[in-house]
Amino acid sequence: MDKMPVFVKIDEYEDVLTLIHNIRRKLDEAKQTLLKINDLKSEEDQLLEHWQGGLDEIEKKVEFIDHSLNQPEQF
Amino acid sequence: MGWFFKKKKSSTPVPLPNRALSEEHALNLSQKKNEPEKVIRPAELKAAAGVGPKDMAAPDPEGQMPEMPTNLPPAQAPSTTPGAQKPMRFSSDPVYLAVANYRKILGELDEIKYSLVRLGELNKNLEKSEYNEEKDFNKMRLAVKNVHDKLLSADDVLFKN
Repeated sequence: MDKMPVFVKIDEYEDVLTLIHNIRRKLDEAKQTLLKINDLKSEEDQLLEHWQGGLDEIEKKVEFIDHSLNQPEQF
Repeated sequence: MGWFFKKKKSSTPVPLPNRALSEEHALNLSQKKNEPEKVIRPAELKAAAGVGPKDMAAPDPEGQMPEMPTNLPPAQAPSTTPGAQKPMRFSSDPVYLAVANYRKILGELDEIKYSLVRLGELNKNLEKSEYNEEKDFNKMRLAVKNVHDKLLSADDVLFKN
């Protein structure tokens, strides 16, 4: 008697199936959005690297000017 | 002594209850007791089934097969396409799920809820970091603009004199 299978009656089975279908569709949409965000993030990272390069270049030039103004005999 | 040689018990007949038909709570299955029973004659049955006396004739004593009618419609083969199959279940039928599977589904739903809560927290953190990123970006832009202005003024001082 303990091993007898017990079942639960599922009301509104069609509604549950429709709900699951909608959830799957939303999950697909979220995946697509995450892919787009990843693309934007990598693009942003590239721009930030450009910024970093530009700042380094400016820093070097400022140092050069500073040295040439403060110690002109070395140049 | 095993089971096979066990002496059988003598079964005494169970006495049937003697209940009077005129008892108060006696079963009354038919309300039309007084109506005469309808008798279906064999001829009426044959007429209802569309079978005449000619059709019920005895088979040919020589054992020959009767002739097949020639104007029968062609037999249709059952369709084998998967789309044409009937659905396994009518929509109005109740659906039952084993309790073990039902519990598994409930557990999965709990985990999904927990994951959604965690994703919500991550979203809040992302919004905060986005805000900080924007703030830092503005700071950096201001600093670069400052440097640009200072460089211009230094250029003026150095090369306009």
